[in-house]
Amino acid sequence: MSTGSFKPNLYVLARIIKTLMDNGVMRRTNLAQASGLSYDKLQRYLNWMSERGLITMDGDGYVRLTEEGAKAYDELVQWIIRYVGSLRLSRY
Amino acid sequence: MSMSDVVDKVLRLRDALETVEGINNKLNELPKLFIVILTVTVATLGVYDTLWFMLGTVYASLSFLWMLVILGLILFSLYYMAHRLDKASEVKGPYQDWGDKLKEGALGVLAVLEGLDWDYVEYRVNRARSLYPILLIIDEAVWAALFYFIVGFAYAFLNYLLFNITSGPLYVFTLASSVVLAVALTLAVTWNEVVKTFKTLWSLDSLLWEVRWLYHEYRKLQT
Repeated sequence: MSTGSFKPNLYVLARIIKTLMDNGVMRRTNLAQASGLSYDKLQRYLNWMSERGLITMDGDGYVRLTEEGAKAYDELVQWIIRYVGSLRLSRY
Repeated sequence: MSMSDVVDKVLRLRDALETVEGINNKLNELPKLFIVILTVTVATLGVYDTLWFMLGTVYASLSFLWMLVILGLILFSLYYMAHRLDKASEVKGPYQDWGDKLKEGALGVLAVLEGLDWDYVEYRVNRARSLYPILLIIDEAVWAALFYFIVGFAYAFLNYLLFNITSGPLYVFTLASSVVLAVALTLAVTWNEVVKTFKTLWSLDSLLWEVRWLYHEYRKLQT
C-alpha cells in the first residue's frame, strides 16, 4: 500500500524510532503499546517508514530499526539543537 | 549546546508566548471595561439629573456628598480597571503543558513544535506587538487623570483658601499648570513601566521574527 499522501507527525515518528532504539527488535503489537499508538495508526507509520528504509518488517510482525532510521533520529536531534537552540529570546 | 539548554530555550519561548497571551487578553478586556465604566458613569449622571430635577436648589446643599460620589466613581473605575486587567493577564493560554512535555527532552521539543498552531502564534504575537502601545497610553491617561484630579483639587482649594480666587487668569493658569504637574507626576511614577513597555515591544518584535524563522525551518524539516 502506497503512503504517497501521508504526512507523518515528526513527534510520532521520533517516538517510534526512539522506542525501537531503546527496545531493539519488537513485535508490532508491543511497539504500538510501547509508543502509545493505535495499531492502525502505527501500521500507517510503519508502512511510510518502511518505504523510506528507516525500518524493516518481517512476515511474523517483527519490526527492526535500520541504520538509516537511527541516523534519521540523530538528524532530528541535531536539527533541534541547531535551530531551536539558536533561538534568541529575551527573558520575560 | 546540550539538550537541557534547548529545553531552557523552549521554556523561554513559552514564557514569551504567555506574555503575548496576557497582552492579548488585556486588549480583549478593554471594550468590556469601557462599556462597564461608561454604563456606571451614565447611570450616576442619570441619578444626579433626577435628584436635581426632583430636589432643585435643596440638592445644592448636598454638593459635598456629590463630590464624594464623583471621587468614589473615579476610584472605583481605577480599581475595577486594574483588577480586571490583572486578572486578564493571568490567563496563560494553551502553553501550560509544555513543562511536562519537555521532560522527554528531544521528543518533548518535537511534541511542542508539532502541537504549535504557528498561524495562531504569529497572529497573536503580531497583534500584541501592534496594539501594546494602546495599553501604555491608557495606563498613562488613567494615572494623569488621577493626578490631575488630585493636583487640580489641591490648587483650587489653596487658591480659594489663600486668595479667594475662583475665576480669572490666575485661576486658568493654575488649572493649566495642574495639567503640566499631573503629566510630570505621571511620568515620574510610571517611568519604569514606560521603559519596561518599550523593552517588551522590542522583544515582541524580535520574537515575531524568531517564530517566523523557526516555522520556516520546521516546515523545511517536515518536507
